[in-house]
Amino acid sequence: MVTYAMFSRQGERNNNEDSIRMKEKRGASVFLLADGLGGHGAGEVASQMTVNYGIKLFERLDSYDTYLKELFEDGQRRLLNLQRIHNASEQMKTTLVALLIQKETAAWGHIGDSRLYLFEDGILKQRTLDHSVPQMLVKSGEISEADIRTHPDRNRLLRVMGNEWERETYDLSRPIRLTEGMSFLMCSDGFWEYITEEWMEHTLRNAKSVAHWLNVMEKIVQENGHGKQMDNFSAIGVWIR
Amino acid sequence: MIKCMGCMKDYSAQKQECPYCGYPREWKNVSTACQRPGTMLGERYIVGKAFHQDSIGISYIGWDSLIEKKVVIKEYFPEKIAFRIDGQEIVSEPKWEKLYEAGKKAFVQEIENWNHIDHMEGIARVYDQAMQYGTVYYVREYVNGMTIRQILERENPILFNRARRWTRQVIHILSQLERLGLSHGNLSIDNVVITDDAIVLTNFGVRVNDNRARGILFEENPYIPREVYEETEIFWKKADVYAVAAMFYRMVTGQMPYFQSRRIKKEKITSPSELGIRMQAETEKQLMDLLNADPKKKNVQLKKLDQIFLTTSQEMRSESRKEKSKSYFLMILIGIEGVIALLLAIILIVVW
Repeated sequence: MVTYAMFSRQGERNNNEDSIRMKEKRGASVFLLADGLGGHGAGEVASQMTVNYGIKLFERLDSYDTYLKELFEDGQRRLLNLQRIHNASEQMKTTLVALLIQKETAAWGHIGDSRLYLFEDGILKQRTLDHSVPQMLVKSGEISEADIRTHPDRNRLLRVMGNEWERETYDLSRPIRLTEGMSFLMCSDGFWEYITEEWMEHTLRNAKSVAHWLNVMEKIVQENGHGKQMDNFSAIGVWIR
Repeated sequence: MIKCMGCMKDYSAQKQECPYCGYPREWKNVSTACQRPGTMLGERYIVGKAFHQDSIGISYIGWDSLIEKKVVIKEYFPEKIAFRIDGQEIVSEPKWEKLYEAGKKAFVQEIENWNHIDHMEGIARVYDQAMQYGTVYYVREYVNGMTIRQILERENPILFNRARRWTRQVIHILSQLERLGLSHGNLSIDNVVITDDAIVLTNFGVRVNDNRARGILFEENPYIPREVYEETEIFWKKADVYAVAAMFYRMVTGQMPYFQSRRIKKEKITSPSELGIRMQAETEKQLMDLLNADPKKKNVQLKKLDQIFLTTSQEMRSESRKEKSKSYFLMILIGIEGVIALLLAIILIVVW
């Protein structure tokens, strides 16, 4: 059984440029989270358009073998087109993380620094790697994972939707077999910035439902981020039980 | 200019898809169960995209070309026993003919019932009907808003107070219907629309007084327990009450009360507190009593249901008053300590 919970909060900003949505159709589900970039509401347009397109694409298809690839590539084309129409090529960009669950498998894709975490029986197994400067520094050994949250270049992204690509710049996972006890967490940087992986695991192990899990984590994020000009923060939790 | 069959807005014929909703100009992959977008109904209505299907029939976006307005067209199409050839609806096997006709007759009767409700707030107004393509259609006003399902696809669960407020509004509408001798009979998160300032119920059930017909044709709403369908008498009195309780549960916990596609008889339902969702103890007890009860034995009225949610509101207010008193007391204490500290500091300075 698949259960989910999701929320998106404005934080201490004037508007919310995060967008989240899900859709279920004939035993398959898709979960989408996007964090828009660009001033004057352009980020909001980019993230909403991308997520809404992802849902329409999901509704239109009968088979989802190429869904994630089409989502990123067609989504990118549409976003660039929208930039041209609005003369907003320096604005109107977004991160994107997408999780596709079918009867026995899950697969995901991402671009930017919105993340997907996979837990099994309460233990973190893997997470998506950010397309950001700090993540590159971790890869080269110059800083540690723990330093990402406080690094001064934390907001410098290397890849997002809405920048011209010469080749595929998004990452797609291989499909994995679903097993009972699996949990997914998708979140924007405004969320993961204020909660460590240890706390994600700890709250997961003590949660009675996915809604409970997200609720407890949200309180931790709010508490840690209060008074620090909190960014928009969003999260989607999915449990396989 | 051409009309989009997805949203009924007009757009340039040179575009391949609607710039407003993205619906393609050429309709591929249209389900053979649905009418083709662009089909005319009674020389007045244009049938557009199918956006919802339940066991009773299919709902389409439509266009009323007489008053030039977007509408919803509902078609009687009991999917278990009907199919379509060249746009004509046909019963799948001769043995289902009687049931099919019983359902169609009840569908027409229900349209008559709802047609007579004029200007009642909270109900999507039905204002026309047609018999064509081997079946029956009704036309109702289009309601601009989001269904509870659509909201739950963006936020799940819903904040407790918001869910409570919406539930009480639904109960209020049902109470008005009860006074007219009517009930909805098909409540679910797909049939409650939240607009900017109101709640509107759509897609009513069909009053088939044949248990077998009802069971075969319409037993698909996961918000109404199976045993409620078994008896005509209790169905129309209790279906709405159970559906409201189940919808509230769905909204505040984020998941269905039943693990199966619908409740199995005597299935025990996990309480919100067991899922980590905080709620007034008394409210939870009453809600769970209702969801777990045998509907044949338990008699619950809409008025009693409303009391469950009204009580919750008052107790939570007095709890927040207690919280506020606590914080005022703390502030005063801190203030007093601050004054004492200041006095001590002054004394020390003077002594030095």
